[in-house]
Amino acid sequence: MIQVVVTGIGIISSIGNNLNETYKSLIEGKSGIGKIEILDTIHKEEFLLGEIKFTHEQLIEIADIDPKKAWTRTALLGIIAAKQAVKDADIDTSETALISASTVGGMDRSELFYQDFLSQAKHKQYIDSHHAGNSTEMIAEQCGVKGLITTISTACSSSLNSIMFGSRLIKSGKTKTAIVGGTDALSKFTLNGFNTLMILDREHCRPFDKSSTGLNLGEGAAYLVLEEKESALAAGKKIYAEVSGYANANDAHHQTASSENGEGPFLAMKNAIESAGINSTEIDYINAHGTGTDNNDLTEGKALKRLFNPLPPFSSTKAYTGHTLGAAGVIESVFAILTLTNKTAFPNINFKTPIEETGLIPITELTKLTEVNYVLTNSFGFGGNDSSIIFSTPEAAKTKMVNEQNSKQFFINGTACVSPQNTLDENNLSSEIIEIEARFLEIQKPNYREFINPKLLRRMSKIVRMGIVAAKTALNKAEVEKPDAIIIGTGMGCQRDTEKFLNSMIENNEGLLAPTAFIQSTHNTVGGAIALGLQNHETNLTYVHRTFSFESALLDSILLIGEEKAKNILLGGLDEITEESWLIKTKIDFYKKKPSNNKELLKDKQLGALAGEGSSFFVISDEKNKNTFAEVIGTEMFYRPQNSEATQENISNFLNVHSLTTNDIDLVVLGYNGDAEFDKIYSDLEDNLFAENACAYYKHLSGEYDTSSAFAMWMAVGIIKENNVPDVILKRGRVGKEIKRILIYNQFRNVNHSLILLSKP
Amino acid sequence: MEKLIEKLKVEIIETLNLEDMEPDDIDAKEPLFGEGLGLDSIDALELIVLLEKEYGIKIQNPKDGQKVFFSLETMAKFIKENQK
Repeated sequence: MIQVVVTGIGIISSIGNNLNETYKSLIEGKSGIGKIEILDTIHKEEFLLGEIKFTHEQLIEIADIDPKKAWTRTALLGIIAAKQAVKDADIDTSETALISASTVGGMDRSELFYQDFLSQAKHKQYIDSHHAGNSTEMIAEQCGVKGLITTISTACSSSLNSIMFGSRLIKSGKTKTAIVGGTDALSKFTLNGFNTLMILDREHCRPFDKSSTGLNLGEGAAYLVLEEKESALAAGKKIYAEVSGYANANDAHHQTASSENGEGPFLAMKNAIESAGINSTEIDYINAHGTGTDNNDLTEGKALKRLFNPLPPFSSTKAYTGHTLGAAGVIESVFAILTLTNKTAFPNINFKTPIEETGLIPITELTKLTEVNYVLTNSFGFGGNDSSIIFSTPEAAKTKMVNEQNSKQFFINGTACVSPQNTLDENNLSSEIIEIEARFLEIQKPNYREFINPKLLRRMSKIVRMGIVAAKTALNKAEVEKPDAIIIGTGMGCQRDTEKFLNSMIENNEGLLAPTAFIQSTHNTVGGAIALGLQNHETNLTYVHRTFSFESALLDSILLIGEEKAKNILLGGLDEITEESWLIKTKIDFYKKKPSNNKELLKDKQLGALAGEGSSFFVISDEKNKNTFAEVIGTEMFYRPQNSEATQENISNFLNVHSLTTNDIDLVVLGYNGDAEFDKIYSDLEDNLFAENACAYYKHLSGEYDTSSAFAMWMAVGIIKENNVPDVILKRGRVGKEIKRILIYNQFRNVNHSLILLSKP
Repeated sequence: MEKLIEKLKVEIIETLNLEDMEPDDIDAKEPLFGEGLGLDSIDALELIVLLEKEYGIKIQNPKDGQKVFFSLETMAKFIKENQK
């Protein structure tokens, strides 16, 4: 069994620009929270923030990068921290994976230029940097990362989930090293959003204190370098800690608030302890989530009391840094690791009086611990997303015996698809295709009331609705009531709610804003809503990296089944199109400006793709049964291949890993989207690598969107099940009598390329 | 008071997007939260914004909302008492 250790750390937050400065502030009890100086907001005199006191330009200088490029503050913080981690671990990044987390992505720039995006687009260089995956790609480029890159966004637990995914990748042998962590910059969007929830304290936050009335927001980034323990030891590397246990659980109670007993937090901690092979008495210190809000501190406290008896020393370090959202998990992991390596626990500053219901008293002084083997850190987020990780000394970590499970197989036992075609009630594409002449393709609206309680429906935007409909239908078809995990890919998440809150913030000049749109703007809203509807407390993750989003979710599903953490996983890929997002992306020629006929898509000469939307869900399982559609053989992602030869080589290598060649592929499904410039990549492959293959296309039916490959997979598994390729998708060649294997290849603008290989079960 | 309650019904249906509801479906004495109309804490925050926008009344502590928003009647009474 492969074990995972931390060999490098990089960090920047309001309490320090690197690890040494951070440690100094922690032992001196020095908080980074104070008056607002950098963020240009009307709330300057009203709230305190944990700001990093550098301007955009100063950060560019510190990061030592090209000042002419379009950087977001989120990317800048991430680059600074990740570079430190890479240097510290002294790794060769050419084969390293990078798993990063962010909640707001490039919002710090988007909120400045949003109106301009919609009109003149003078600042169009920042349009694409809004994407949550942008900061990850900027970090990868600056650190020379050539391995798998992807992005996770599950609100405030995001970066603990990126540490977990990185660990799974190493344990499965997919990579030997991974840079994991997260970055989030302060923005008016988040400050005003949390203000609508009325959970911002106007004074310095006081986690676990009776008088606390809320949290302070902060910003920052941190990254850990994870490596295989054995090779790190063999290379004589400095080892900070071992990642010895982790778990993600869902509270399934409410969109923003924790359940009274802290069920989700309890399960996350309990399962993490179990996965470390220890019991709760062996935990020597807990870095609590402890935000300072009544709801968190009370419910986390209750969960702590339920699980630990006696309770080990614990503290929240949020009063140092403020709540850094997507970066909080990894920043506090760094603090927990510092506690482990220095046998010193940092105080819960500003604490005076315990909350009556729990009576819990955190440590309030810098505390020397006599023995520290295991430390636990918590991060909980909107959508009931709760994560816990245990770090240990490499000596204390237990070596677990697990069965070698190389022979695991992955079957698709249920599918459902909401798309611009009539797909919801079908297993395969109908031969009667809806012809659409439009600027972008919108879904055929299902009767939502058949699937969702009208009381809940009233708040849900389109993406949440179509997510729930497809998820429920897929589960029904697979005859699975209780999936063991819910893993979702969405490139843009809840665009409509994000736009709604952003517009209202700009129009009202940050005054009198309502909370609903903000709450629902998080990327994991759909995953949370599905869990809530199913009352599902299992692992719930959301991947948000452009056209890697769905493939990342698929890959993690495979890893979770491989680790025997799950038997049946609900897997989905979905995105929604809105008038505004379409308009903005026409400014940078991503999408076509004028209506296009979907049946004539490949003849359309306009720049850009025909935009679309959709929601495709699958139940992926380790066992074949009467419902089985197809088997997933594997998936692969590659970022910015150097040239077309490199693309071909990547595809051949992928097939080769599975002991296959193009001769073994009965149908190749290609992502032609009507943008002639980039469709050439597909036609080149048709002329060369796939010269002998039957080739199909699908985006005239789905439209282009980040997770449109999920639509392709829905289509492909239906083709395999019914052994029938509809004429309307066949582009060239003929398929044989039996369709055994289908390869899906997709890319968007030659940046994020992906492969999914399916076979007859 | 009656007039104010009727006005509030319309505003609440619109703000909270209660698609299926008509003003007459809401009983002024019925609890808005939990068992009654089934509103939740997010709706309470929406109602706080509504009070400030439409009636110029600020509620600083969200906990105060629980009493104020018990029913349409208590809400109307609170508005009458606090409106300048």
